[in-house]
Amino acid sequence: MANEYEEIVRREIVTTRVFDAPRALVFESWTDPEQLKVWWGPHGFTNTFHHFDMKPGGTWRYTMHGPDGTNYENEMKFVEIIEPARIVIDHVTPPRFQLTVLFEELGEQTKITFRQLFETSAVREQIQSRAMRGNEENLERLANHVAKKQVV
Amino acid sequence: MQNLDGTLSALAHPVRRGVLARLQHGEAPVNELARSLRISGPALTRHLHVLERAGLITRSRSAQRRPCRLCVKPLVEMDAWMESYRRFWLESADRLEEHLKTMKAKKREEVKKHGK
Repeated sequence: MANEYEEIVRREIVTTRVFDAPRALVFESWTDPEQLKVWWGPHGFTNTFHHFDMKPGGTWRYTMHGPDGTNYENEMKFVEIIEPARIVIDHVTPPRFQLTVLFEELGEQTKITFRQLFETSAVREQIQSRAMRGNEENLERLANHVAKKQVV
Repeated sequence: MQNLDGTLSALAHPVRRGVLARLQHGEAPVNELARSLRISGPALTRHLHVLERAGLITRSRSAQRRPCRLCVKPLVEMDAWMESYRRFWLESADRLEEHLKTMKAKKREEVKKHGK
């Protein structure tokens, strides 16, 4: 429970995963828009990229299409791209947050650390919005889902 | 769910997080909380009001000791919200894993072709 409080207060989600692929290949799957759009987002989601300019200060605008037909408009701004180790992106559309993706070489494998830091004010905005509803009923499903996942 | 804004504000203070941490181990009277957190009674009372308004604790009205008790519901709600973002990444990672398998197979094919 103490960790939960700390995590909430830091407003940060940190996840890591080891992929069975060399780092150059994993990094490429993030920087090549044709590859990125294939896997970005939860199961059942597809993406349309409107603009993808991967350089510091460059923007990435895209629509995520949910399995129920709902469209989610997103705008990101690239902050830092250090090949093949690190990508930092600001999520401009609410809720505002910053993503830091770290790529670590483990022989023929690659470990990705994904850090998502929310702005406090953004968190509040989001909490008051409709996006919150439904999460409660999803909690059990999510808990089951996450329990099944092996996060390395 | 509207309580969540209050939950966040309530958590944004080390004394209040200290109170919640202490209450995880069971209910406690105000004077004991003040002692363990090394804070004056009146200062603690103000923090307890914030926690109570946010629904994070309840205080018994009847008992003379008025013990404080932790309520986890707001924390569960907040965690559900964070969870939706964790899910985004977990599922994207699953899909990336599949994608990388495809890419590796493709590269192997290319190497084979060039080899011939």
